[in-house]
Amino acid sequence: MLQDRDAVIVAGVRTPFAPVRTRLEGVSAEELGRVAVREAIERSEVDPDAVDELILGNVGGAPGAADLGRVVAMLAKLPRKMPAAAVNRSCASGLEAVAAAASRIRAGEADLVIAAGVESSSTASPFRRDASREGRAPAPLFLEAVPRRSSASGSRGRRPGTAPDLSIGLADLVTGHPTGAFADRLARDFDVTREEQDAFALASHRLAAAAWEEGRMEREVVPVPVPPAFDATVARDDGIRRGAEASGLAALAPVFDPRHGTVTRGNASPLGDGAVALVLGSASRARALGLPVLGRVRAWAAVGCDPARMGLGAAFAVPLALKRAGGVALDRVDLVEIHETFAAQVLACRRALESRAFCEEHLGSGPIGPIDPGRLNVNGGALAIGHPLGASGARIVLTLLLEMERRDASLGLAALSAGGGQGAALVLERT
Amino acid sequence: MNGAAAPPDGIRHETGPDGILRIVFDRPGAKVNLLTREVLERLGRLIEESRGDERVKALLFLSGKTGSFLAGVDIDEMAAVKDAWDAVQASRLGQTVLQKIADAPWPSACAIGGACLGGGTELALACTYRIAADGPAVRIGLPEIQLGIVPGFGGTQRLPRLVGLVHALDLILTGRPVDARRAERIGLVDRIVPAPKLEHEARETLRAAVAGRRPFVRRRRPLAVLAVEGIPLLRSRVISNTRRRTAARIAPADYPAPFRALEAVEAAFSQPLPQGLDLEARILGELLPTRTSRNLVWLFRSRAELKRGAGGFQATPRKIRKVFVLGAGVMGAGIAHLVADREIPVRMRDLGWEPLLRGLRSARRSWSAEVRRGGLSPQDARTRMAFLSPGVGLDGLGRADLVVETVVEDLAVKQEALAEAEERIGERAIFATGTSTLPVTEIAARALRPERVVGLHFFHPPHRMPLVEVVAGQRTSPEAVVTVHAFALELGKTPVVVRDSPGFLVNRIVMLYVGEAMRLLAEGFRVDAVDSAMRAFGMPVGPFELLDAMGLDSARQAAQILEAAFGKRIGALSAALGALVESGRLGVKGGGGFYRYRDGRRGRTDPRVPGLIGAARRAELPGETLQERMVLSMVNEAAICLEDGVAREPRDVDVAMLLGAGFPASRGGPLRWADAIGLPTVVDRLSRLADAHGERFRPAGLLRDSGKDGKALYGLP
Repeated sequence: MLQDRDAVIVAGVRTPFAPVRTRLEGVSAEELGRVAVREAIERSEVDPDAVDELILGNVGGAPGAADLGRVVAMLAKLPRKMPAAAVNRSCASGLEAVAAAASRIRAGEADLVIAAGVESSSTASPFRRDASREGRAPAPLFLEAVPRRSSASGSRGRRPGTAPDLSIGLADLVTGHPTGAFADRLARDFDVTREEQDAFALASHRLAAAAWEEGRMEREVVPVPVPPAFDATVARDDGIRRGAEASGLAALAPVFDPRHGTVTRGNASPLGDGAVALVLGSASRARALGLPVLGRVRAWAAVGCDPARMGLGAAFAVPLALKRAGGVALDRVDLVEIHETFAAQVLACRRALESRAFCEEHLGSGPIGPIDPGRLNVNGGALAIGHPLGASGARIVLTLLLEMERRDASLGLAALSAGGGQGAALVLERT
Repeated sequence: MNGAAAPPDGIRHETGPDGILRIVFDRPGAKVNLLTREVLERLGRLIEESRGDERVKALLFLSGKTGSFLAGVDIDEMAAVKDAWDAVQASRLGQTVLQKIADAPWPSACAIGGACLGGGTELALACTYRIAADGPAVRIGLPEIQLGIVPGFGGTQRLPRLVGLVHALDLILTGRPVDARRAERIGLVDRIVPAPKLEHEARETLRAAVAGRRPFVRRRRPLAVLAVEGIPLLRSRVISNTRRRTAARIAPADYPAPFRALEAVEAAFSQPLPQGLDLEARILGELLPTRTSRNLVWLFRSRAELKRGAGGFQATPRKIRKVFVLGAGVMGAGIAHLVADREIPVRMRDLGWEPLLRGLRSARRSWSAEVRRGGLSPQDARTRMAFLSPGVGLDGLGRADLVVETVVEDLAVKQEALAEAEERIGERAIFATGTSTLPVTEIAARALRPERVVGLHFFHPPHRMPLVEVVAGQRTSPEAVVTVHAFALELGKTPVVVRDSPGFLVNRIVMLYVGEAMRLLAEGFRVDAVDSAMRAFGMPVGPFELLDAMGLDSARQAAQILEAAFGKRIGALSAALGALVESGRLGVKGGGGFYRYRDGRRGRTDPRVPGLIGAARRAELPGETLQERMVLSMVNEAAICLEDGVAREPRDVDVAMLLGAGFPASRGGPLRWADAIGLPTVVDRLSRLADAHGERFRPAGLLRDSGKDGKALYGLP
């Protein structure tokens, strides 16, 4: 039974995701955000005047739109009196936006909040070489910036001065390691083989392709008309490679450690462009407006961990979120989304959660439990469709919610590991 | 600034300790100030009296209204002018009073904080200095040409002297006002200052001038420009070129004003001011009583009247905060663009993305063009674009206050669109059908809430055509009518409320007229002969060009609906159009039509068309004879519409025909035209046509009865 002050999600939609500098490169962050937010308002049929706040997750910012939350709110024709904020918890920013919205609602500070996640990796300055500062050693890329299909022809850095250089924005300032190097370390620490990683990536592409082919994405995604010419729309996630083959993945060279490394472009997610918007409300307001309740935000948690093993953040956040949800056991959760920044890192998290040694040492508990593949990332993930940093956290909540509805599942869990050594997780419930 | 303190004539004045005589225009109980005869006379007296007042050292004109400085003369006074003598006297009065300002021994300044038009601009021109506020409220112009006259208070003489020949011609011949920035660039205003400091800065300017300092340095005009004006040969070249270009678009016999304006402007350079003013007054005297000017003044006032009342329907209009447009064809997308342009959120829905993208493109193009013209900032263009949201589903329908349907012109399809919408729209939302021919009552026949279904008929292309027909179905509530009426006004349109019947008002009359053209074609007259006869009458395009532009398939559909309703009066229009459509001719949009087209440009007539519709052998008659048949078919049908109650009064028919069908404004609409040539003559000619060509010409009872009693259609009870 829903309580009046429960935070419920009533609608949500996202743009298609496209790998950085591909078909959405001409669409600014604010435009991506506007399309998603406006569409979420249209689909939810809420009166924009009744919306109390917009909270928007974003990492890289947008040139010319420092106050991205406010800019998106104004472009989406939300009322001027309505405040807006942008939040940044690195890769978990989109989830942070959802959690912040839910907290506002539970606290009675708001009754209708839009939570969004937006990233235009193609245009955000931290991802551009021209933003580089002196004194920071160039580190190897952790994610390939250019689309993979053209990377074979050696197109890296095809535009001098503007090529996204992830070494700058994503190198970890605390440890000095490139953000991607941790994935190799996790693979080593948790015995994740190259073959396992490649197989997981392959599955991600196949599941994502199937989700589209079977029409499961229609409800989730709104096509984006591409300005300024408006002669085409981007209607589907662009990064999915339907014909991905194990042999093709196996042929890719490791990116970070040429000799012993296992992380390749094929089993790491590409940066992406995209936006997500969700409409959250208090249960009482949703009831009063006759809005359909897709699910309730039952609990959430964010937690820090060793920056040198940042990809493990999800493994730390999940137990805490489950505990806050009233001690829910992991095996009672019907569907799980763990964000696929790297195959190695998702697999390491899974292994950590079922490892007695890890759980005793770091969580002070027995093993949390296994997550079998049948309920993990069932519609694929970022390995296939890409990772627009600020948007991904909101995307997995949306995807999870719609899949829970399709399967009539009652409990869902969405978790991410975030850059800098953090994890965040959110428990959703359908009643 | 309180209204009670303003004397009835709307001028306040006081002389400050700094010797500045401050004259504030503040017409009691009105939003705008007007230069009425009374105001002018009082202004004249005030300046005369002040000449004897030693304290006065400078003159400052201000407005007590926000957003309006002086909106020109009173159009009602203009309409009351009886003859040329009256008109010359009115012009003389204005000229004399403004001359007193120019001749006064003190410097004078205008502080322009809002619309400054016609006589207002002429007053500003008579001052020593013109200071304008920044911001969008300021518009300065001489719109007289749009009323078929020339500026008559010295504008044709002082403006060219101030801004030069080319800019003066532009302002006077187009009648379009300019904003503060452009006004400053061309030298029409001396300075732009922040709006809150307008009066302060104007005072500073005058104080400096009184102290013998130059308040600012005026920019010199470039040598080339001065040469054009100073060398008579070059000057007359510019003027004769302009005259030629104008004559290519406008018939001097119908619209003499631009040609007379050129004459007056020329005099500004070749003659001293007093002689120039004489000429200006004389020209105004000749123009104001002409049929063209009378009709244009009447149109101006009628449009203002139509804005005030929604055809007798009384209710409080609902505020439209969100619009949903069903169908993103040319019409739907055009309407969505108009709505977004007024910064109202609009959702545009079609079944596929192709039409939606086309709609976004055309809106974008239109705003980009406005940005290039300098009428819109790039940020504003982006903001407007963001008001437009495309979608392929019905999401967003639930919160729309107004749904505008523009799906195909087919009763079943429209009923289905309505039924589908009604499942999701709010109980108080209004459903407006954009049908051009189908009766609203039939579309609403199975509606859940027929009282909220109303017709809202835009004309093609919607962003350019000023007319909207608001159609009240049998069960439409006054609230629905009043709401869409107010909405049309908000979109900048002139709404005419009509009663529900096939084709409503304009399309019905136009179809009768086009049907007559088709009969002429069948009788063996040439396509271009028929078209040129109507262009000579003053229509912007001939009937066959019109059909080609409409699209022959859409025209056929409309013809079928009207033939079903009005039978023989229209004739076999749809059959003839059908023959052409089946031969692959759709008009401009494809396959050509009565003419051939290349890249959208009209070429020669298609020689196979007469054969396709089974025309008789070649026939020829003078253009006037063809004209008479077609024009009288419009007049007769217009009268029948009035009899049938489709329109409430003659004014509605005429305004609709002028704005919606391109009936020449110089002729005032079919019914005013009939009044002008005399109803007995009209009845006589119609009767003779009826005897010769068929009963469709049998004069309407209304024409016969009024003609018999020696009355006119206007002024009938």
